[in-house]
Amino acid sequence: MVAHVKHEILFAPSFHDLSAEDKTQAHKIVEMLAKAMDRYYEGDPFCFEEIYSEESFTYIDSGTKRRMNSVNEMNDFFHLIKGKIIAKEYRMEDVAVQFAGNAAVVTFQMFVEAIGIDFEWNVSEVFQRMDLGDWKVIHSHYSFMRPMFWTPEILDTVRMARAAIDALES
Amino acid sequence: MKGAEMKTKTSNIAETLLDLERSLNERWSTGDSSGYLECYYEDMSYFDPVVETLLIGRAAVVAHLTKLYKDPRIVRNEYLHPHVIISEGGDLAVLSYNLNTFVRDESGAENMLRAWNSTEVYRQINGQWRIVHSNWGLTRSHAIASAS
Repeated sequence: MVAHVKHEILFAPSFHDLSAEDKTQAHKIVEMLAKAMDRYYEGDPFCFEEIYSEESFTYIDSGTKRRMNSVNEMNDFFHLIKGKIIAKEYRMEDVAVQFAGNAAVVTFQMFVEAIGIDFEWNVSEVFQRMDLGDWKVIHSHYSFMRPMFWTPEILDTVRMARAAIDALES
Repeated sequence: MKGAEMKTKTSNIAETLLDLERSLNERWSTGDSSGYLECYYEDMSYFDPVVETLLIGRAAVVAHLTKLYKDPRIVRNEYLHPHVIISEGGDLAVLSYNLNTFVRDESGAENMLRAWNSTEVYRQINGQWRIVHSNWGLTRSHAIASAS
């Protein structure tokens, strides 16, 4: 049986300045993202495909070899990591949402321990509101937080994780 | 908007933003940070590999970069894999690309300074494209190298 992932979401001060309507939409978006993240860390990465835009989508992180430019490319990657990236809990800090018409930019810092590493990410997720009013991700960017300040111990662990992920991809 | 018309509009916006980003970055590379700073919008958000927390607001970003910035003396930039996604409203665009920067050492040889994953979210405000979000992250190989 898969254990449920615990999460903590801490909003940035700017979040409280949103209008009532924007706040409602922002909560909807963040809850959707957290729901996908919960399942991802329970070992089911495919859940993210439900919130990615089929029409336009790009993904880049500091661990991938190259940017992925479609949901299909993500699907290939998800097959490799399915059931392998498990976490008990994660924390999203400083969650901020900026709206621009039918688009929303969600930014936060993500803290999670998985595959033996304390991951710390600077995260950008850009959402587009679709015709039926639901929100879909059109771009994701995960950057390592402050890599030049890593200690030798962290660096060793990251190298080991990178080797493990390379092995999955080969 | 019809398909062909939308495609042309998308292509024009992508070209405009790539030119704009390139011009801002070329200025940055040779000692002039004001291009980026002027293009940043008031309620922007910002990440780079140095910040401890998400920066919100142009004032916070300008303060951060002013403290950090000195002429990087970059002699060449490579703009790789540019990709632009435009929102259905046409007033928000996500530019992502890889940026490799190069400097010259004392012997005159060219060396890579940084390799970046860049996301720039632009929004058209009063007819001008302004940056409302930036995420500058080191690429996977460069993150490891920088930490070593």
